[in-house]
Amino acid sequence: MRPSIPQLLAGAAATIRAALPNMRGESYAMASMGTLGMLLILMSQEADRAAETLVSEQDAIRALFAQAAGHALPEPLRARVAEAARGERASLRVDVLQAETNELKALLTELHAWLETSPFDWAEALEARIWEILRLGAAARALYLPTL
Amino acid sequence: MFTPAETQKLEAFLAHTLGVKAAKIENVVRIHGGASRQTYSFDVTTSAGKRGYILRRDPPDSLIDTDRALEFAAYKSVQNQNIPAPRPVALVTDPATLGAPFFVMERIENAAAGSPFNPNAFGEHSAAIGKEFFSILGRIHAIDPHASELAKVAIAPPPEECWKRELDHWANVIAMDALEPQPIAEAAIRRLRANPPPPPRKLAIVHGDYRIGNFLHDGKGAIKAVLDWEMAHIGDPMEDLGWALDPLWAQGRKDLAAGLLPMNDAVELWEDAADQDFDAERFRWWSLFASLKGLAIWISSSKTVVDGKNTDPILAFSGWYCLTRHNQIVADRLAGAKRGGL
Repeated sequence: MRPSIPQLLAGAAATIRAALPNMRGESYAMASMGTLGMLLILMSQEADRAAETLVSEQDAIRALFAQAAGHALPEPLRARVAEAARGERASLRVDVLQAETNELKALLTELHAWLETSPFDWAEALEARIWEILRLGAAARALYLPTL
Repeated sequence: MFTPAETQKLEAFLAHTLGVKAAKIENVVRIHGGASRQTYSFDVTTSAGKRGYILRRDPPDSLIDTDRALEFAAYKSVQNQNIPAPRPVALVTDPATLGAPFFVMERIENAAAGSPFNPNAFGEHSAAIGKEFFSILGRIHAIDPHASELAKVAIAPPPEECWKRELDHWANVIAMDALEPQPIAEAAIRRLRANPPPPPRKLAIVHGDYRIGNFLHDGKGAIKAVLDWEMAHIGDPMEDLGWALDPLWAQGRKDLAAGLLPMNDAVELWEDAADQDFDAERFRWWSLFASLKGLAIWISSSKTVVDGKNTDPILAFSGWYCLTRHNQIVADRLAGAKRGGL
């Protein structure tokens, strides 16, 4: 649909920012509206990319799980990791993707904690790969503030 | 704002507190003073003249009385210590007057806060503000915490337990408030527990939220008041340096401390004022802790919004922008660190 969601949100933010100078004497309301305007801009950044970020992250975590399941992890952690590696997406709706990603990240956190205590080279390599997934995921979600 | 009945009670209370026959409240406006408190500015006219005051009231769903008492004690602790801060006037823990505990302090006139998210908040005065910012922090840390008002309401931990007390607290906040898995925060918690810092040589009053945005300046390069002492406690002074120097507040200026002045200059100013040496080993731990504490605060902000307890957009902003930024800061740092190290 046109205008797109990011365009609508950016437009709403611009409307709020244009109205701010007329809100003299309303300190709290003015600050709140200014923050709301910034939030709309952040939402416009996230709206377009949210599904792609989650899908990419899921794929990376499942690939890592598939690799980890081939190593001597303790049971039942290994079995759970192997099963999660075989998982499939139920939908591309963002709320469904987010719920699936949350399940994967909870298991990733358990695996990460175990790998940190393991002396094996393969564990160290997997740990480094987890950090790369986490680092890339954080970078993919970076938000940029408008110039004030 | 205040109801007519609340205004009447507050006027009677202020007249009693200020030692005058009558006090008249005018020009009440709500201002932004931190989302965890309702903050009001107003004028009070008495036989002695007119003066501005700030009132900080707990929101209905919030905090225990000791939190307010602690913040009030922190303000009292820095009076007459060459620390610019508002003068506290009264603390009221009985909710009968305004429906919730509150405290009143004198308003700082002709001063404004700079946004921590504006990379040019102080314009040509950035370096001057930076010098004051780190000198004042050093002076706060030079105060004997055991002789302060804060020591009457806050426990002074054994120096070797400072890190654990803070880490336990904020790790618990994350455990209680996280609405979704936080693998970066959880990894940081494990890493911090595995690498405890050396104890401080001496304890200090720790402001707890010393950063850009939590002070008022005059627009000409002078800091007129340090605000927001609600997280003040007694602990390791490196904790405040870790927070003040967190990359979140530097707005991408990695070369400048708090985005204001060169790191070496900032550290020297702090050392001179605090009369103690900067400890790089302790700082390494407390700087990672600062980012973790940030994550905890932003995670809590998100939960507050989702629970519908507070709809202030600054909480949603923190839960989005600050959380994603701190996840990025911690992930970049630990991904690049030696395995198991800081």
